[in-house]
Amino acid sequence: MSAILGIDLGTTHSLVGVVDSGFPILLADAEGSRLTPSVAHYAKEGAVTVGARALRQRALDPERTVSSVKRLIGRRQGEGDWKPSYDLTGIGKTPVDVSADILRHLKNIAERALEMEVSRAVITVPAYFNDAQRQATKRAGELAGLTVERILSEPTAAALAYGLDKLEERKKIAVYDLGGGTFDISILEMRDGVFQVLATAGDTQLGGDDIDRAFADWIRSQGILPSLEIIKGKMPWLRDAAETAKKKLSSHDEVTIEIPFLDSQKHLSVRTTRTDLEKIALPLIERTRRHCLRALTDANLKPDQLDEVILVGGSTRMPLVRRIVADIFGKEPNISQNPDEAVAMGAVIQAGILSGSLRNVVLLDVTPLSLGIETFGGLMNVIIPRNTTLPCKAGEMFTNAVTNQSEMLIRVLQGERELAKDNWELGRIAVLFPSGPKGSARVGVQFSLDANGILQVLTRNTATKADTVLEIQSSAVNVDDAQVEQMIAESVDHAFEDMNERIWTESRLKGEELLVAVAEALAQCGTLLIEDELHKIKSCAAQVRDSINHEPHDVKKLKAANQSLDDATQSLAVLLVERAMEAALERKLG
Amino acid sequence: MFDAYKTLNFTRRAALDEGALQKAYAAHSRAAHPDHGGDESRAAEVNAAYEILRATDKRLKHLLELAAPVDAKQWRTVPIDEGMMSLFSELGAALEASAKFIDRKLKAQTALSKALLANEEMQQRESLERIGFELDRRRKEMEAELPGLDASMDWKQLGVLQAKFAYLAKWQTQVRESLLALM
Repeated sequence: MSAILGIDLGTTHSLVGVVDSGFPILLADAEGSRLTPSVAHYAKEGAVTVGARALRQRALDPERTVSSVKRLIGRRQGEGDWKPSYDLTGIGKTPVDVSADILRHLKNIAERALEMEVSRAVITVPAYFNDAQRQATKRAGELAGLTVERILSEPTAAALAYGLDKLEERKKIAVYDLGGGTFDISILEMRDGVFQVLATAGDTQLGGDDIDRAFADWIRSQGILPSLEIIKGKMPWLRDAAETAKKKLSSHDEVTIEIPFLDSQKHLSVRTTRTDLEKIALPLIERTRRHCLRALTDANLKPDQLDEVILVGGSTRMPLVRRIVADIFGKEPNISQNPDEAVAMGAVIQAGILSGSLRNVVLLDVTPLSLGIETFGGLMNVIIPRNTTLPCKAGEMFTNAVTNQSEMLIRVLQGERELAKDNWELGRIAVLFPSGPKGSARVGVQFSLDANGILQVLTRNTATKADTVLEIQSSAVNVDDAQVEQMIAESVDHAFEDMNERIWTESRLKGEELLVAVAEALAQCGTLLIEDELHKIKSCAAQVRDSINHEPHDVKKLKAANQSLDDATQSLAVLLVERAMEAALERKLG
Repeated sequence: MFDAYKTLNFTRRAALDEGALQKAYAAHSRAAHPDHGGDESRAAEVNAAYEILRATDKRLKHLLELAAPVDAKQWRTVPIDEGMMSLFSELGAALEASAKFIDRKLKAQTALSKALLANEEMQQRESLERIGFELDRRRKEMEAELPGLDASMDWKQLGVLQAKFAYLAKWQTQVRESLLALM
């Protein structure tokens, strides 16, 4: 029996490993590195390089160096707000092609290290990946010459890595996985070798990459730099510098970023502190909170019922992330796992389970998203709810609505929104009816999700009892590129026209809200403030009032005034929350 | 008809020990899961059976459908007792109040206006938590009745309990969702 590889196909880095004489191990490339950058460079002449060598091309040839392609896989063109610095269409590659090139590279690393051919693999994906993203990842594996034995969720994989030496224990754990481009939270129960996922939630467009980009923008605004156009081609340099500084700031309080010759005359030198970085990263990391609470609610657990919160993913090295996780779950997170390698180790363990070398482990994963079909009035009718254990199936009956109706098109959707149009459309299936009077033809359709979380639709002929697989006519591809670009361009044009007016209105509303809040807060506890602070708040409030009434409108001035008042009332806001908490405590005791 | 009891090898009954159920589920999954050479369709049935048997309202409904005499299966208007009724009106008021509050909270943009809402938010949470606690207490109380029903085979009473469990499950979900929105 040939070996099965375990592969972590990450947004920024990928790893490959295998079970060797009963132990999961990760494999290193010729340079001795286990971590392969998920980057591919496509030279004009056609040469393809992958990994560390391709990463070095990013600064030299950014238009032809593809990174973070995981953010694009299985998604429709122009969807999402992430815009790469390269142009895949120009290079002539699809996200699946690029992923396949990376996987082929990993396969080569493994074959070199094992000195034998391999053709089977387990590949991990973010838990929150939908059917299209899972399908596309599987297709990439097949293109790379691998039989994909299992698509495995990343946090589940990490849980395996954490729990393999604790099979006799009973525990409830959360895995908080913040990687380069995706965030997942999964809650699992471990007992007697069974790893059962209770709930999972996440965001497939949130990760360390976003922090790098926000940090790079901030650095650019700090250094006095010429116009954006001049340094446009140099943004990857700035991004790399931001990423390096971010990593250093996890262990240092202060880092100076130096980029020589960012444009022909100027050197960039910016001093940054961990506090700067945390201020920029905070709103991004705070976005994970609501997903964590959602997963806890779905698992019907309170934070104190969890035994451990396991951190994985490179971004969890940031002290700020650890602080926020501790705040969300009310306990210090467990950092026993190697943030870069735990998912890959889990993939290898799963490969071991499949090849039969780890018989005592059972993994029960769930589908992250509800599956449904569009019904009357454009509503989503859920057929398989989210967090249903895989594999699973559910049947629906369809009836002809008019006499001799020959077929019915059904839109298959994934997502949690009430309206069909707000969910992801996986595609359409055509249900064929035998001819007959209205209501006479009844066709049963079975929707099943396999252990990979991939959908299959079957129809059963009630007379012959024969099952037919229904093709899902995917609209994920075949979208006219030009049309999409036109749509995006139009919305941008339109946005510019009323942008100024909109910013003014937004700022005015915010200012007005602040003034009302200040008046009420001062009435409640103004007497508790010291004289200076009270004076400061009042003068800032006056500034806001003046700016709102000032003609002509000065957006900049109003925004600055709002910001000052926001800052000046910070301790007042803290005071209010403290008083509310004291009151709650009194109610509890009283 | 699909029989969840048979799938996990249990005799048909209303009261089911959670530990025994988990053990049976683990054992059947081990045998049926495709990771261990099992059959996908069989694994899906094992999962579905566990899903039904672990939730008391679904389990009782399934039991009624499988085994109850015809007259007990007929759709019934279940009289809810006074205690449940008053709990229901309390819940309705709390849910409505929190929905209105959440609307206001979503509109608040600044840290200060959010802070001004903190006191009310905590009070909303407290009243929902109190109701949630009461729902849980009732559920436990009703669960204690199940072994007696298994002995007496009182299908009518089982039907009544099933309806109550279904209400409780629905209300508990509503409380959880509201609490989540209030965080």
